[in-house]
Amino acid sequence: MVDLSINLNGLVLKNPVLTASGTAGYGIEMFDFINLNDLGGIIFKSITLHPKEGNSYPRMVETPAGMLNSVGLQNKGLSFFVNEIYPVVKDINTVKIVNIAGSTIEEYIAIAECINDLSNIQAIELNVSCPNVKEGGMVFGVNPELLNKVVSEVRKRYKKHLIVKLSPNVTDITQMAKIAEDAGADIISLINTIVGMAINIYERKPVLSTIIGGLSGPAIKPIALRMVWQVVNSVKIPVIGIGGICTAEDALEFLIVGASAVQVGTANFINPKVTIEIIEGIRRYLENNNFASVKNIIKSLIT
Amino acid sequence: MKKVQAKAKVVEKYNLNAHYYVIKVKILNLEKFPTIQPGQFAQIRLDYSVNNSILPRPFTIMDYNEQDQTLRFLIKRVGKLTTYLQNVNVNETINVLFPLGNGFTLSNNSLVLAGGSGVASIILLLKNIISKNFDFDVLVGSKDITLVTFFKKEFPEINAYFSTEDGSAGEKGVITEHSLIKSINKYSKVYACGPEVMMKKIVSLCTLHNVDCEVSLENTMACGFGVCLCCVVKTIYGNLCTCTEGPVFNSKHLIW
Repeated sequence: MVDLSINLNGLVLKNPVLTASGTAGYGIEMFDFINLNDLGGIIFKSITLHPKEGNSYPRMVETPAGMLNSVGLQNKGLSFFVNEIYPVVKDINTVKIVNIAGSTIEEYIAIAECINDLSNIQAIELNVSCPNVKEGGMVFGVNPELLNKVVSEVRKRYKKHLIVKLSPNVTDITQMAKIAEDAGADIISLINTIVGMAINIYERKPVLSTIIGGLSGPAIKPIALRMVWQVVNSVKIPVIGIGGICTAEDALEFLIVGASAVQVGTANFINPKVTIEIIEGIRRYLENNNFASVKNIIKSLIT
Repeated sequence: MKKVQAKAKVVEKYNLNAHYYVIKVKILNLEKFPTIQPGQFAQIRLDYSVNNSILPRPFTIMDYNEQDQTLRFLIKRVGKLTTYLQNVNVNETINVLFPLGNGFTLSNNSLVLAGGSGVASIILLLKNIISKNFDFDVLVGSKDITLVTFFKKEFPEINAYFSTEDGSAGEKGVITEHSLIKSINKYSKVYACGPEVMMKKIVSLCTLHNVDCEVSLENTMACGFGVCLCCVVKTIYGNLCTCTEGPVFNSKHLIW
């Protein structure tokens, strides 16, 4: 029996596969399809301090091997999560991570302090990389000073595992990763979506109401993989790879370049059982290739 | 009702004309066939290698047969997936996720309106209304006689009303100008499925005459089960997902 467990700087996962924020709701929506206890972890849909309506429809369009979205962090806010969602999900037997987003540093702090008191939430993932909101969001992830400030301030108040989710929409991803590490992040996750756009040529109008949106899906996988590889080689803290992972083979590529775990996003829309299939596929690969533990392949890239 | 993800085998496919076709699929390896409400939909997806597309597309479940474990769809060719399915071979397999969303609320004394491919949404609705012995009138509007012929074959025993833009069946013109619409206020409930412009016209008439109205929306979506939050419609309760809170909405909740 191969060992699939992973230790991310003290955060122990039963296997390296998590659902990416915004692609599996609060887990509740997945009950019909998968046993959430089988996952390495769940990262809940981003929550903001106050309820957010998100952007106008249309918010998504399929593009070659991917999709653009401009949901804009629609959610019912922190209180709704604490009062209505947390009681329902708190006993799911896997690592539960809250993804938080703010338009000011104070908002990030307020949410982090509140989540810190929820005993069954093991970590937060700081969303400093959402391209679809006017204020905050990606601004924090593409500005070195702001990134340092938001991570350090949240670090002072949040006592459990702090994950920082980086934006790929920067010139040098390793610079941002080092800033997050120095500011106190325990784990780095990347990448969030890549800013893109699509046009309806007959109307000569943008397809999305927001003109630009975030690209996800298999189309971004090679970029994500390159960035994960660069970050892994520039920081000491563990890295969670995200970006277009649809199969066990995709996940294994990320693990081999050095990601200690992966998040599966857009693929959940295509096949809600995909995370379980990926976990099984990783297990088979390890067995067939005589690896006793998934840890044996992490950062095993031969160059 | 529990949602099911399954493979399905095409068991029948026939064209109504160059644009419309009917496809029947048998759900494979199903433990229990789910209960399906009229107005609910299925996500249909082909493997990526088939049409270079990753996401599924939503289709109203026209009707089903629990014994045969089959679903039927009335499909209009509009894009890659619907073009592929128009030429699909019997015995090919596709991926389905169903039943999704909320269906219609059954009422007595209703007017059932379908424009174009909206016909797909009213077949199961009418079967349910008929099985309850509820009073109803039904009006089908289409460009030409194609969907009229199809509808008559589905319900040979019903005295339905028709409108066609080319005048080949029923009254000539668009559905919203049919004479039956003038007496919309005599119904307790109106069901409208069709192009958005048609539904909006009907909704404004229903609002004017204070008639309860349900419409079926077809917003673009990715997942179909409430996690991508892309298919939202503005309602008095804020942005709601068409896939989980709809696709059938009571018009008084919509901000159109």
